[in-house]
Amino acid sequence: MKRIAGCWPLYLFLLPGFVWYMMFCYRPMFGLRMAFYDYNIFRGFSGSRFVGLENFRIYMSSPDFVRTLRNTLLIALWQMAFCFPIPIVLAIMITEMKSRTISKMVQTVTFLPHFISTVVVCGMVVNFLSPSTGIINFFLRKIGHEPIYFMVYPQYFRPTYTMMTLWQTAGFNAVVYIAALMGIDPHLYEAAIVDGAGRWCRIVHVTIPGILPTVVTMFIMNIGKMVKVGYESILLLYEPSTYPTADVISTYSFRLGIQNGDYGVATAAGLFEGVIALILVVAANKLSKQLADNAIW
Amino acid sequence: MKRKNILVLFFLIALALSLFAQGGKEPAAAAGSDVQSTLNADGSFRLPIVDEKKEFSIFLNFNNMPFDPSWKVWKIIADRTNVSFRSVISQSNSNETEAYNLMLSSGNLADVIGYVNAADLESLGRDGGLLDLTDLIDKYAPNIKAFMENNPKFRTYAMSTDGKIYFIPKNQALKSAEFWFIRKDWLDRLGLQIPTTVDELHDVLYAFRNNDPNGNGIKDEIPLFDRAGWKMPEEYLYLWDTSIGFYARDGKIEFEPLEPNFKIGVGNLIQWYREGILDPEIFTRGPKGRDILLSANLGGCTHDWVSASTYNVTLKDTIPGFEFIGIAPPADQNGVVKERVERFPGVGWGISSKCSDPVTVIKLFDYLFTEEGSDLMNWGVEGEQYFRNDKGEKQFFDEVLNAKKTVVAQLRSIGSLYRVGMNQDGGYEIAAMNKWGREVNDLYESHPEWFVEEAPPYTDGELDLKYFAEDETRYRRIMNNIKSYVEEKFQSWIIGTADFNTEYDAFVKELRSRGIDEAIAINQRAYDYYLGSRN
Amino acid sequence: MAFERKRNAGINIRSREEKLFDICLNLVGIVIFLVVAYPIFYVLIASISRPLYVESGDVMFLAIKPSLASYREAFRTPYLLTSLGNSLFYTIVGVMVNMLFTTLTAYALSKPRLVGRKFLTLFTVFTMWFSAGIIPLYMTFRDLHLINTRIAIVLGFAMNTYNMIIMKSFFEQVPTTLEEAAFIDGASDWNIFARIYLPLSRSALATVSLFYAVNRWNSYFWAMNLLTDDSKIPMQVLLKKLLVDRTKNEMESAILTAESLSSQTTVIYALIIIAIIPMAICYPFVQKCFRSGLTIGASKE
Repeated sequence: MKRIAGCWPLYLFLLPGFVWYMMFCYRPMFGLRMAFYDYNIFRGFSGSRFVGLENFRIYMSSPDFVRTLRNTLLIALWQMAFCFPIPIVLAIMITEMKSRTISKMVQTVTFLPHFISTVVVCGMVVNFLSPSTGIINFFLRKIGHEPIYFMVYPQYFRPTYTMMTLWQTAGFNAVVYIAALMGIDPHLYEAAIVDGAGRWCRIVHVTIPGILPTVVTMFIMNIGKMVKVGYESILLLYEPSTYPTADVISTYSFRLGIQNGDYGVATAAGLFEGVIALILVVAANKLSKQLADNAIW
Repeated sequence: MKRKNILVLFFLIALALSLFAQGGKEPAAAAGSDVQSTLNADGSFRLPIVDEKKEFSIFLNFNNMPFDPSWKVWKIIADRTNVSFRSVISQSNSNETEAYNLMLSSGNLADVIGYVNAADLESLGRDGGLLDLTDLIDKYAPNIKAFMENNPKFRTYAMSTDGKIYFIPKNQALKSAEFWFIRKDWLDRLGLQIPTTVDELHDVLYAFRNNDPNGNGIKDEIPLFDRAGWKMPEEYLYLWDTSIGFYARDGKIEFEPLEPNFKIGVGNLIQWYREGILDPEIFTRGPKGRDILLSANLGGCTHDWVSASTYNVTLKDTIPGFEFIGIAPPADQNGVVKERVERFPGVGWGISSKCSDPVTVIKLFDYLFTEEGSDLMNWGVEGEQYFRNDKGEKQFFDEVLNAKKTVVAQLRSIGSLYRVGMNQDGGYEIAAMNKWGREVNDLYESHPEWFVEEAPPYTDGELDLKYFAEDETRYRRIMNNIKSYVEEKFQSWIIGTADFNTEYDAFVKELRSRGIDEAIAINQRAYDYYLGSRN
Repeated sequence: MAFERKRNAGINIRSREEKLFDICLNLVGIVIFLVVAYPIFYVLIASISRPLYVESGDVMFLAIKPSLASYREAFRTPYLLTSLGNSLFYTIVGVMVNMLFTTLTAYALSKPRLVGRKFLTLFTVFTMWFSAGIIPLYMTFRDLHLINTRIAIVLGFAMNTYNMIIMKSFFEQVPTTLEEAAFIDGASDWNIFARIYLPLSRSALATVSLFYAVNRWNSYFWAMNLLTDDSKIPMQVLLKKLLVDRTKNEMESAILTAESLSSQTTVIYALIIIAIIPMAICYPFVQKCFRSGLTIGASKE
């Protein structure tokens, strides 16, 4: 009891946030029960039929469902493999660069893509990958290779999507790491130099451990986000012939739910995604507690 | 542990309390107003409709253009009738579906509602959100009533499967929608005749590809192209009397991928793609495909709206001798000439149950079916867009015809041709056509045998029948799994990542397991109802 | 160069290995710059080129027949200036509200002595994966009578759990000895928060503010669905409308010829450049805020 009394000012700090979460996150969450109704938007809950797990059954019984699960996980894996580490590398590079000018230029230019709307970026991707007029094929032709129609072949979808996401988010995500890097005690570097550590050695033994807590936090948070692999950009990029690799949970549930006005099913899909994300995050959190002694909770 | 329990308890109480800020749906306003006859004693439309100015709320977002009360045409209508509208969505709204669903969920229905999807409007009507207009039309909308009696297709489209009318559709006076266009100058250059059958078309297009009609020594011609959208290159399957969707043949609904014509059509199309006859980038070319390919003197032939004839004027100087003319649809492998793409009535607007004065609103709806109202909605403002010549016929001003924007775009920018209950007459369309457009339009309109009389309505290439309430959801769910599967397979066959002949049987089997037979049966029921209700 | 001096402790050792490393790094930096900048460069040249050449893909490294017609057309977009003003309003006021809520919450949650800390953290984090969806949230706004109000946009999105956790993680890295010392000196929680933690976390505050600012600037979805008055609309909603226009109005869209000076596409590119410029200008200043350096030295260990 004394301990609660001891930290009562902290509860006051929490109050505004708490009220906000209650009003704008948890109260609307009661709407999630839509997943268990044959929800009619106009009639609302009182006019809709309770169907139990029927919506989930509809969602998961599609012959394409398993494929979308697999694609989501694979794309998420590609994202984790590339879009997660590269911002870290970028941040380290930017802070290690001798030339201030180049460093600032790189930092600004990698940050800007985040401001170009997804729709426009996807339009540009289609443009750049065109076999007849795109710049990528322009270079391919210069080296004597046949132009490739990237947008319609399933095997190119994941690399294309990953590179596009990387371009859009690397600089932006690097910002967190740059901030973390700035917070490393310079005395540690001094000590390392005195001990005779070279450039590379300093990076490995001082820099990386210094930003580890941040890296771990970002890792756990991003794992959950990956499952919700953004449907807007995939919707704009995919072609029917690329469905085998491009169709993910979110695009599928968009077609099944929102496009059809089937909100019960759409909500069920969302719940399903949420559960998977939660499992992944809890696992990641536990894992990082064991390995890095650092976690979100 | 005890402290944790207290915390959880506190949380639950807070959650419970926050729920008390629940709102409720507003009750429907009572109806009733002074009822005057819509017409004067001499049969002309009584204006103004009401003595005091009245404003109603409206939900309409047509083609990304939300209703704008400051539009010239609607201002004039408001002045004459004393009835005006206020949009419930902002001018920058770009997602009609979301806005519609949110409006429904909030319970704050606008007085007048229009939407892109007739089935959704009817569903709203059945749920009590829209009024049944049958009585209102009978008593207060004589022009609409007469129009329905004279136009059975229009009346059928307006009626829901429960027999009630929930919205006034937008009628199309013209029949033909898209035409076949080909480069006459290239035909002449290569000494070829206008193709009349699909095989002749193939040979001509093959020659286009290989015999360098644009004379630059490079094999860069793209004989058959299309604009991006919902229809490429699937619509070229029409050449072999097949498609990737449903079709009504002799009263029976069939799913064409299951029929023998499909093998012929797809086999040929794959061949055409390999030979370079079909645009290799047809899937991603984009909505400006026409502009790009024709301006660069690469495009040879297409199936498109009459606006394709405009290039005869705009490219006159850039490409000397350019001639893009309309031709009859090539006969299919059985020698039958058919044009599958035609115009059907489309969705319009309805009155919601929240409207406090539906009588006034239906009278306004009726106004658009008078000659005056129809002219405003089709031709624009007399003296600004059009004038009457000595014979009393309406004509567009030259500035309108030769402006940078197309005539349709200009009319839409002042509020004409909006997606409301009206009759889109052929007059303005023909008046806006150039000589090539008029030629091809006359050609198609003079051959009604090319069109199927009992064809069910299609919207954007997809079957658009009215379904019974219990079939609706089931149909959508089945088709969701089937449509994406068919599209995926079709595209991969065309580009060659999968082999059509070896996969066809498995394809049919998969369709059956996904419930195509049930979907056909549902469509058959709906089609039977459609045929029945036309009589 | 100040930062570099810190790392090298003033000793300018440049062995051959170091020199090679630096040259490689600079080269890689230049390559990255070129590759990443190209699409932005493309948007720039496309916005000043003739639209037919843009559509046909002829514009690759140079603008073709440059003209500012697209920019002139862009400025004729209805409500453009109002929407720019609104965007600035929502971003600036929004970020202030965001930072207020976020720092307070993150600070409290970063203290191990907070009773129920694990539960409360989970309480916030849980919302990251289970969101109610569009319709229930819209109904909440409706019940609170916040439809078509600016308050809805500012307050309704006052917290982003992701950013809050980042903030919390930074707060946790401040050594506890500072706080202990302050308690001994008799400081209150508020004083410790405002006078010690906030100044020390400048780079974290800058980062999180930046994230919120970008988020606010880029967001259009709820602004479009909640606001029915055109006078309250932010710029991204306008941009989205133009983008959707491009695909929807294909039926009777203007015919492009070699003479056309601007089209929907080039106008969109022009608007994007217009939207990027404020950020491109502000960002170098924000980068300065990342200097914090004073953190750890303050603790006497």
